[in-house]
Amino acid sequence: MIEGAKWRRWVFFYIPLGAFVVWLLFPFYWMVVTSVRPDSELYRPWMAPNYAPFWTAHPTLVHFTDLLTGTLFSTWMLNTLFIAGVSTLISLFCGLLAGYALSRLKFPFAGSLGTGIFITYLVPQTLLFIPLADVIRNFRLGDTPWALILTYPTFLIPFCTWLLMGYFKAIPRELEECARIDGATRWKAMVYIVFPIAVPGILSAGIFAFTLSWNEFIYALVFLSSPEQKTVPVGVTSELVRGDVFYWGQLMAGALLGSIPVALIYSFFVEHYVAGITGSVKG
Amino acid sequence: MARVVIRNLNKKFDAAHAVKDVNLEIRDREFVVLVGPSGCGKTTTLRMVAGLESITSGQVLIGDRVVNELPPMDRDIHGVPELRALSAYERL
Repeated sequence: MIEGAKWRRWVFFYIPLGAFVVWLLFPFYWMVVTSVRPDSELYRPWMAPNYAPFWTAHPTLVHFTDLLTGTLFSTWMLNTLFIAGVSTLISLFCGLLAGYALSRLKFPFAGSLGTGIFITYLVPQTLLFIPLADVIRNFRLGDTPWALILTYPTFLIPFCTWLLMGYFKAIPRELEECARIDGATRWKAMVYIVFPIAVPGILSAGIFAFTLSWNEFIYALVFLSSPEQKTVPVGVTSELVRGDVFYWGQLMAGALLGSIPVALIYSFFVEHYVAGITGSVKG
Repeated sequence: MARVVIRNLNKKFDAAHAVKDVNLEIRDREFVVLVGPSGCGKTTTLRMVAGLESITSGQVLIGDRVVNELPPMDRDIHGVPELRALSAYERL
């Protein structure tokens, strides 16, 4: 908190904070307003005398009902949930073991292996989807959820590994060594001592991985083609933009509903998640 | 009988020679204190006895058993680490 006169607090704290909050939340506000605005208002030209872009006089839920009954939106939600959930679990499992090994075990080339894993994360997806498309075709996985469940870990595993590696390094080695002297195997020390301390780190890795795969667009666009297999980001943009007609109301309703699961997960774990970012064990 | 014998114990970390030719015999019921300046290898020696650090060369015997390759849990010894871990224990 800023000390001193009241005006200083306003000028340096409340006003910048307020401006930042408005800046940050405006897109969400726009999304909500557009999703409840009737079509007659949505497609009104901006020169019209009753043009009111920032609010609506006749809020309606017709876009939501259209979205849920007229499109396969609920199927897309389930697809996305399944794909994001499974690929997060796979990546978290691999990332946990790899992160632990790279931060704790001494083996030749551990350092360069860690860097190598990080470099694979830096390869852009826009480049990687071309060879991956070939792999998916050879395994005949195209247009199935498994195409995404198996390709998302290509960027999620390096991500989780690096996040957790840094986290494990911050946990004092002595804790584990106590356990090992007192009769635990390395595996037991890892599962019963290190993992419980690393819960905030594991949760943040999981939340990030889930969000990344929930929002993923290009792999989902390339590897899935039939409408009933699509994920939310791809389904909404490909089925609700027909030619040059944008169904803005439904698009925004889809975006709003699609962002709810991620927002829920964030709010459930926010305390652990912040602890994960700021570090846990005070040594 | 609880005897600890250390024979020609050596530890090298890459270029650094952390522990050099340590010979020590601690008999049953004997009380021994290792004293030395910081970085002279006290902790490394104890870690090798406990099995937390691999041994470059030499032997560690507990009782009459050579324990060089034995994992820490099978050596039947106990240790209290430096303070750092104890304060962290409070969080467990």
